[in-house]
Amino acid sequence: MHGSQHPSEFYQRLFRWFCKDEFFDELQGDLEEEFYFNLKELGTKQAQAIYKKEVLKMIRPSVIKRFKLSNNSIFYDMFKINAKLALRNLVKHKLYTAINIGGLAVSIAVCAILLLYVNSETNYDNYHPNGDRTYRMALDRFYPDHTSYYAITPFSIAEQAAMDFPEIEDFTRIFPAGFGVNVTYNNETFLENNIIASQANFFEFFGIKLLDGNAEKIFDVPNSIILSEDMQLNTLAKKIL
Amino acid sequence: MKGNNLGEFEELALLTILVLGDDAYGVTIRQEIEKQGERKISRGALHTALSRLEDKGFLNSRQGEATEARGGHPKRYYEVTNKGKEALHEAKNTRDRLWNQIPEVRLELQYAW
Repeated sequence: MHGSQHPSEFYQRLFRWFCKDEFFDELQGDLEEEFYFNLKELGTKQAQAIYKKEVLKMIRPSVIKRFKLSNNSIFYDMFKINAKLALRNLVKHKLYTAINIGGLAVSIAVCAILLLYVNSETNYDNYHPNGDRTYRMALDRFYPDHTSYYAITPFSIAEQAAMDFPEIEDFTRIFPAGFGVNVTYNNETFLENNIIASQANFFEFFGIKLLDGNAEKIFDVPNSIILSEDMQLNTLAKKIL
Repeated sequence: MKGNNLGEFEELALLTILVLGDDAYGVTIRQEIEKQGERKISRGALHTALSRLEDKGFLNSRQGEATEARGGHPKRYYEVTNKGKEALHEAKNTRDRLWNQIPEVRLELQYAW
């Protein structure tokens, strides 16, 4: 079949089969004319591919035949009557129709939203190598009359906890180094909202890959900074370097 | 569905057929639309548009000759009817009227606010 100088036999027959008879001559003629044109211009392989694609794109209501559901006319009549009955019943009992169809619609919608929600919950930030064993430490402070919940823990707790609990294999800490820092360079000011201080194993710990730079040595220089791609500072850095 | 309004692609197809004159059949119409840089369309999509235009009475078609390159299948030539031309004029007039009512300033492109 490969390298044939004629349009694919199978697709020709497929097209013949589903195309309305009154259009077949015109459409098949046009497709064939284009096929032979493409054959000269683009070669056999591409011409065949285009022909096949064109035939598949012919599958549209204006081109395909009306296929009979069955040749058995009793079956067809019965189907017609049942369909008509069903429709008439729906029209007659408007309230129940509304409740049933509305309920079905709402339940399908709820189901779809749930699926989307679960899908998004289980699929984001999956790149962390030990995501299932990574925990964030929080702080609950119990007072006699109430309990306060904090998402922040003291800096030294990590080291002490690692000593006290052998289950802790590794830890890393982050510290917000400023909310809304203005960085000015050459009269251009950038507002950076998420600058975070961290320790050397941060990138290894969370499995974050660097686009550029040496991962081993990034923390060798005190006060060094790592830029994420969407930071405005990054545009500046590209200008300087 | 069937009114005298022209869809955007329908208008394009009618104009292309007028550009091609006597040589307007499936292959040439498609090539011309592609050549004018408008878009790539499948033969099937073109057929849908053409048959709808024919139903609306904007197009006439007649069987043409069959050539070797077409595997013996005859061509079908298309021709815009008077009704089709009227519809084109009407579409153009509407558009011109709207264009004329827009002050020049508002048509200037704005890149920054």
